[in-house]
Amino acid sequence: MIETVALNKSFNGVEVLKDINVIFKANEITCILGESGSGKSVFLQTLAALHEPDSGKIFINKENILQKSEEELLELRKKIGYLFQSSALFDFMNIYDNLAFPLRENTALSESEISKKIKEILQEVNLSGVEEKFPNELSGGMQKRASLARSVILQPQFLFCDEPTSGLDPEHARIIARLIAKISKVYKATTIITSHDIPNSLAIADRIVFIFDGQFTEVGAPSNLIENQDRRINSFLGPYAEVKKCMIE
Amino acid sequence: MKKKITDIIIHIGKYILGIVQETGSILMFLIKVFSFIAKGKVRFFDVLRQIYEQGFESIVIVSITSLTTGMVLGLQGYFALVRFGAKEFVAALVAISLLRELSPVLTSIVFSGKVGAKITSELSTMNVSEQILATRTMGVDPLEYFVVSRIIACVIVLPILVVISGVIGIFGGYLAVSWEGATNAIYYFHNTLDIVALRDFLSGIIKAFVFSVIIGIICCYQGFKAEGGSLGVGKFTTKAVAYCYIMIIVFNFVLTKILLRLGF
Ligand SMILES: Nc1ncnc2c1ncn2[C@@H]1O[C@H](COP(=O)(O)OP(=O)(O)OP(=O)(O)O)[C@@H](O)[C@H]1O
Ligand SMILES: [Mg+2]
Repeated sequence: MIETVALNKSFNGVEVLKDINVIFKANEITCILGESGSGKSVFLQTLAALHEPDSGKIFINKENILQKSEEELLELRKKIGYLFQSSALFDFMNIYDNLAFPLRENTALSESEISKKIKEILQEVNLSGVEEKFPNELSGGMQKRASLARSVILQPQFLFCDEPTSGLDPEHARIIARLIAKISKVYKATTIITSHDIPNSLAIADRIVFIFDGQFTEVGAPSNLIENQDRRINSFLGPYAEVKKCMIE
Repeated sequence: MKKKITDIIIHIGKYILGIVQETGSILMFLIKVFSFIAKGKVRFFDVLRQIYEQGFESIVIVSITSLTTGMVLGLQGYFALVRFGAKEFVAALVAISLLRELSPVLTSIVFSGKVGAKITSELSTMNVSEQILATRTMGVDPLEYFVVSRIIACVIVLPILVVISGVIGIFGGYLAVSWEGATNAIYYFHNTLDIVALRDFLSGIIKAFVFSVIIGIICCYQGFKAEGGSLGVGKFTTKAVAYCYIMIIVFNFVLTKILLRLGF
């Protein structure tokens, strides 16, 4: 379980996250929807203690992670799979070494076990055969999938995905979203996804949260959206506001 | 008017504060790197690869720079000394100015333009594309993974380059003087060995050692600080190289003063 209490974060005097109190339950997929610049990436990065917030508390499994040293945080982050918005694969390594990196660094697996694991996970994300390729030789969607594979290879307890479907065609976006949902259920991971991809988020989320200008508005289960008349939410949903009922059903 | 003056004072104050803060965080960076090294968290193969890359990349340009500098020094020295009837000192002039000053300074400047710029641009590219953040999410400290091996390699490679540069420069000096038909090899090199003391050599190597730490730290630090996409990469890379130049020139004077005091 992850909980934030009165979380605030600003950059150069500009408030990006404003008094965020939210709970993410274990084994649940929460989608945070919000427009560009609303603070989604900053929120996820702060949650993984990659930025220090100005004030507030973050509890992961009941422990306030902001009191931990960077060394302890490195330990903690091994339990967090993090898919970056820009994929963030190491561009000086091929895909095999990229996926092997977390395993070599954090486990005592032998090279043959590592190789077996990589084969399995690449099959899972439908990327078999790209082991020798470098990230820049893959398409954006393939990079996203490779990066997803890297972020879940340690079987994380928590899965943070920053805009996993942005920049992908509708078909690949759907594939990735389903894949995340599947992996999340298999590993029983507490999953947080940020996105502005409305249809896929509604399809896989157990819970929807909106972020407007650094502030959270909780909706609960996607079905709650049908009754919701919040003006800002409906304007964000745009044309989807009309059809949300049939989409969710 | 009064408001303007206070504005200026505030501005200057902020600027100085900025410099102090920056120096503080560079020192913190340095301390963290050293503590990783002290704890033995050094990736041997990464260091070897860095040594290979850094050395390979700069050896040609360092050699050309040293050879031509030595030649120019030989020529100028020869014609200047002839006027005083002291042309037999040309070998000493070339060797000492190269070993003590020109080799360490010029090689370090070339090295920061070549290797330092590469370090900053690599690290800042990784930084703006979130690769460095990603390292942290995988339980690895990016300082330990990316910086330690690069700095250790700098500290090993630069002093070696400086020695090579000194030797090539002395040879260049000989070439230039002998083209004037003014010396023969045995006489020239005998003269050189006669006059050059161990302390001249050491003085250059000590300088190279200090410069290598300066270049490594500045370039890695700027790479880690970079932000603002591909424009940021360019900006922080040029900034890193410019800082290296300034620091090398300033520290060269300070070190010269200290080393001479210490009898080097
Ligand atoms: N390192 C930083 N320094 C200064 N400002 C920042 C920094 N990172 C983010 N911001 C600011 O914080 C705000 C939120 O940024 P964030 O990246 O979280 O947006 P986002 O919701 O992820 O948008 P997108 O959908 O485009 O990814 C933006 O206004 C941005 O300018
Ligand atoms: Mg974002």
